[in-house]
Amino acid sequence: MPVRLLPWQPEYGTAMQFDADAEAVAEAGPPDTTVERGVWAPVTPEVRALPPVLIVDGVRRAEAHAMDDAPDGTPVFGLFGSFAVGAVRAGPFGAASGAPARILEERIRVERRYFHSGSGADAVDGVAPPDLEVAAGRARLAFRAERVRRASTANALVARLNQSMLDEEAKLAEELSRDESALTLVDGPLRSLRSPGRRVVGYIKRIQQWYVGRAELELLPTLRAGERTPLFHVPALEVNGSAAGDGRFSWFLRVADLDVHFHPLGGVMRLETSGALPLADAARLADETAALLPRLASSPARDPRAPHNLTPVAALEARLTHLLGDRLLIRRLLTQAIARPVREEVFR
Amino acid sequence: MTRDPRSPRNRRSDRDHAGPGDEGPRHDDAHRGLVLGTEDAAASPLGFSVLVDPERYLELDDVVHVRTALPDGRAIDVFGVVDEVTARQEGVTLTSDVALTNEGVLPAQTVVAAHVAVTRVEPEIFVPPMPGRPVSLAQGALRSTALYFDAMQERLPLGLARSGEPVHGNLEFLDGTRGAHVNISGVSGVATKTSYATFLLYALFEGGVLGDRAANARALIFNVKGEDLLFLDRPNRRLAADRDARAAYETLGLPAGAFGSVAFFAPARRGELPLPDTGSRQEGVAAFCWTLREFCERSLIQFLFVDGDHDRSQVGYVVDAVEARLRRIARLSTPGSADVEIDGVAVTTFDELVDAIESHVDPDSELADRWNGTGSGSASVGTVRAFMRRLRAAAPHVGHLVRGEAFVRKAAATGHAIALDRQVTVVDIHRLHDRAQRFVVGAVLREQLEARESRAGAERPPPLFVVIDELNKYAPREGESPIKGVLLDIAERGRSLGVILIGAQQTASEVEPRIIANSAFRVVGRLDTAEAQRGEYRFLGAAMRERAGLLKPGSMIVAQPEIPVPLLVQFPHPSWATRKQEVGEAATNGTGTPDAAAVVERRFAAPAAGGARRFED
Repeated sequence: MPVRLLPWQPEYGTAMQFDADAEAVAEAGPPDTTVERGVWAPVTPEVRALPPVLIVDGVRRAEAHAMDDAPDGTPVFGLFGSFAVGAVRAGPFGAASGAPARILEERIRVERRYFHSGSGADAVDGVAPPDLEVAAGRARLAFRAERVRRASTANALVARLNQSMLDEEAKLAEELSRDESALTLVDGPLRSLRSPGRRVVGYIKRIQQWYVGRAELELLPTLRAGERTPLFHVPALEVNGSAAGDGRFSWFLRVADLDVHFHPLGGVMRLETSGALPLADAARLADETAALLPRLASSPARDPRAPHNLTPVAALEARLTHLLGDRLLIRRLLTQAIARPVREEVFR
Repeated sequence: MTRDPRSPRNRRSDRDHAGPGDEGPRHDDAHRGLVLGTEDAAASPLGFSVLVDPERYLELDDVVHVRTALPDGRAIDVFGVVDEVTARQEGVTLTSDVALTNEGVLPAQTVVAAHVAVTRVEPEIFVPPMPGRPVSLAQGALRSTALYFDAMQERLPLGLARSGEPVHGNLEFLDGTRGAHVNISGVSGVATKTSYATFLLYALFEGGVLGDRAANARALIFNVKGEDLLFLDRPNRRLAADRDARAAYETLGLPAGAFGSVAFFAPARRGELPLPDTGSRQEGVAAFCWTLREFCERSLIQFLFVDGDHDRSQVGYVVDAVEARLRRIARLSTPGSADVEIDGVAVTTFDELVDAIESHVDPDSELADRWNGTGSGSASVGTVRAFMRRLRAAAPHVGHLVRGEAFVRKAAATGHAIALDRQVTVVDIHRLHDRAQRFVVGAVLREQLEARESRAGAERPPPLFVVIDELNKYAPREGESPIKGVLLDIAERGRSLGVILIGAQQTASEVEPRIIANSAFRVVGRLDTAEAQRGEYRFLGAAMRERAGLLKPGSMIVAQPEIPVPLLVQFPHPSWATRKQEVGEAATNGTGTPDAAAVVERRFAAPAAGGARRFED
């Protein structure tokens, strides 16, 4: 096979995040690829009316890294970060058009945090670093202080910022998924949802592992847009020798037919839903996503992560990023806010 | 959602919601949006943009008001006129995104923004209106303030705005007090230049704006094409059925009728009968001509040389010499006669005069009294030939306008001169040859100008409004000519003499710039799009220039000195007849001129078939 390209623009990495040397089969044991059908062959769903879909996403941004010294002389890392989560609603879709897509402005949350690794600093003084509030015109940006335990590096704070965003996303997805008239899509695996509704699907843009074996993988390049693989069941991880929970139903689908110069796995995405669902319900979700996602897939002209990054999501991300505020302005406000007390101390 | 905010119902319901003391602009019926402050739509003291409330709309020409505050708490009122409205989708980046939005895949928000050109800042502290300030439609007194109507001592209705409210002009800038002259440009046929000029006259004379001066104010209209000015004294039959037009006249404070006091003049016909040469209208039209004596006395010969002759300096020398001789001849001729005597011989027709001139300017002439100078001062043979060629070329077209004693005596009952006895005098020259038209315009205007110059008096003379179309023909951009000199004189000095030029032309770029520059009111009807981009129309601004290409008949853009932005006005269909079929039943208010043509017809042409047939045409 000649060499072929992968679709994303390289500064965004690639959708292919798996380890080629790793065992194809996941740590929880081999998935059951026969739960839905006996034959591992493409499924072409016939979905007449596409349901409305709610897609949850978030953005985050590290505004400034900081450092402090604990009384005992150990360095304390700090991170000013912002994140926002929201959802976009699209559909229901008819043959050619749908209801206008809408960003659910009322559900958007913008949060600001000051994460710090103040290991013991507050324990010693009994005083946590204060929240920092900066004024931007009439608006006030409150960076709430939050201690990150077991953080010994600055990168751990960045990871915590990301996790905070994911937590908020999960929370929002849980709330939204109570509306069962719509399909709720979540960016990434469903693990973080504690009590998802019955119509929640996680879509995984970056494939970390394939779960299925090499033989099954050969089906993927042959899928066409709108087709999916049969469901397979991924058992839950074993905790203390017994499986915790019901595991997940998962499937692959093709979001877009790509040009010949792209690798045929390039337009493939993995999706999953709760393993606690009745099989028929899970299959219906799979069918709906197979019909829906090619429609929402982005064009390489407007998105560097095309086709995986869905068009409504790109618009939501742009909106959320906009709501985080101007990066340079916030950086400048932080600088001012921190400089003022320091200067006062110097001149005192 | 899409209710019309201007519907009375909506207005009422808004008022109901606004409780006493509720000053929130959002509940205001006039509220239209918020001042923008984005990078590409930053507010300035001279212009700003508005995010238009999605429940309302702003259109071009809407007059708006914003109140902004200084840090010390003082309020600044900023007024302006909407000169652009744009609708955009936010959240889209690519052209094809609009399709994605329609498919329901891409969320986007449609926003409408309007740009406002500031007309007035009160008090005059030029700060930008602050972003976020509510913008409202200026109505009533606020609108008058925005457009400076409140400061106008004497107001002239210029037409109706798109909103149906009247637009006023400051009469002081028209009657010579602080400025004068109107210039109208536009494509023939669709720009309705003459109609608008006539409308302005109607507003002046029938709207009562001239006050005491109305009795002595005069208008002189040269009808250079068509016959639509020949029925100014007759009401328009069509208006009876046109309720909108009648309402428009009422809004403008004008009666819907005809001009009250009009006289019509047409050149004398060729031949020996002193009949006016007109088309569809015969009755009430008087014939005019000049006598040979007047031609000589008043140096009218210069108006036969009107082409942009590049060698005019040479020919002009001969013209000047001949002019001087003709003046002397007039002085020496028998007083009281229309004829003149040259070398003791009576000259009774124009052709005889031309022959006499030729025999006197011919360098080879054996006459002792040669008119082309003598010795080194004499004009060359070539120059004299050029002079004669032009004179001979003009003679057949103008000859019947310059008559001798025999003809003038026949016309004695009605007179032969153009007298401005009525308020409005229409001189119909549309059937004349181009050269003759220039001759008439030049001769008549010079006479009026000279008459006013010689009139002593400390007070400002009553205004004379001169309406003339095809200004490019009489005062072209290039070249010099006597008639252009007269028009330039009016443009530059007419203000003090009370002579107000209402000039029109297809393209201002072809007219002497000083005439345009001296016009206080500049009006534009439908313009050719290429013409609209020329420098002469810079006063329109970019947006209005583009619109000038779209104007419908009856819509004009008017710029006047006090209002910093040009305004779009619409003027109603004429309430006077513009052609015979429109003449209403109502009579001429008893002020029509005595039926000169009919009188002459009876006296001199009893069996004449020619004249009678004309009536049936």
